This record gives sequence, C-alpha cells and structure tokens, in this order.
Amino acid sequence: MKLSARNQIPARVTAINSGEAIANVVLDAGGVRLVASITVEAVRDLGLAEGSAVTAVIKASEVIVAVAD
Amino acid sequence: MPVFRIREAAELLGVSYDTMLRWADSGRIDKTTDSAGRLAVDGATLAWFARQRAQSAANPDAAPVAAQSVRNRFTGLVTRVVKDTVMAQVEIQAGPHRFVSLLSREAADELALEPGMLAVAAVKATNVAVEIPAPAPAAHRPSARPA
Repeated sequence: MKLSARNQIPARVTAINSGEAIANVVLDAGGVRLVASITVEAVRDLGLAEGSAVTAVIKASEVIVAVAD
Repeated sequence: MPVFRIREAAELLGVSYDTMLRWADSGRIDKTTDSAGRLAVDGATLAWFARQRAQSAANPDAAPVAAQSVRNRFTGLVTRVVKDTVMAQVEIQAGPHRFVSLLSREAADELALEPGMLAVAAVKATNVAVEIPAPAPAAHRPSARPA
C-alpha cells in the first residue's frame, strides 16, 4: 500500500502503556523517542509488542516547526 | 433505544426504500414497530447491520496490504483532483459519503492520483468528532423511544 503521508519513520517499539481504550506506544526511531496514541484495538490488530518493527506515519500538516530562542 | 422507520433506515444506510423494505420483509434485518405500530428497525440492530454490511462490502483488491493502526478507512473512487504548486485537494466518493483530503502536491504526484482511481480515505480515530443531529421536524422525527 502506498501512503500519501510524507513522514514515514522506521522505528522499534520500546514500551506499550495500555489503558481501557487507548494505548500509548513508545517508539525508538534511531535514538529519537516518539509516542503514538492509538486504540488498544489497533495494538491488538497489529500484534504490537516490545521490539516490534514499525513505521511511524505523520501527515505533514500535523508537524509543527520550532526554532531555538 | 431509538427505532427508525424504514425510510429513515434506508437513508442512513444509503440504500433505496425498496431495498430496506425487502431486507426487513425477508428477515435479513430484524424488524420491529414504532410507538405508533408502524414498521421500523431497532437502532442497535441497524447499527450492527450497517457495520456487517460495510465489512462484507470491502473490496478485496483494496484491502490493506500492510496493517495500519488507522481505525477508519473508507474505500472509494477519486472524483476530483486539484493541484497547485504546493498542495493538492483530492475528493473521494465512498458510498454516499464524500471525503475531501488536503495533501501535498508531492504526495498527490507520487500516488499519481486522478479521477477514477480506487483510493482509501483514512482518518485516525482521535480526529473523529461525534455530533448528535438536531431533532427533525415532528413529521419526520424518528419514533419516540418506548416508554
């Protein structure tokens, strides 16, 4: 499947903190920490576990740019 | 639990009145009556039926080849593509629903989006707002819930 999202970052799952409906999935992308808030249903469907290789996908319009003061 | 008359149920599922009536008469969807004794469909039954129908209608060719966490996926046809130098506007008609996507020109070019293509509109679950429709005028209002 091809995706329109411009940002597709290979990463590895380092932790999964599950609530009732939502899980925060912590990712390590080459030393950068990313967190994905996804449904517990999605975690189950994707069979995610610590160590899983994943791709973090972020639509370009969602990325904020900051510069140093 | 609310009940919906056949015409209302047909509109919600995007099918004709005759089709919904046929499904109710054949037992494909359980029927009930509203408070006035008119033929109707229970809201929860209708929701379950709509979900089953959407799943079975999913085009196998468009099924995800890679699993994604995105919960909301609508397969449809690209009906319109407008591009400027930076951004693109793409419209997808999926059943009765029109989706509009604003994406970069780069992405639209890479996917070679053009009218007539099969495409999936995907929306992350945290981006879906829920609204409750205002009550319809009395003549068209879904039947009152049973006392």
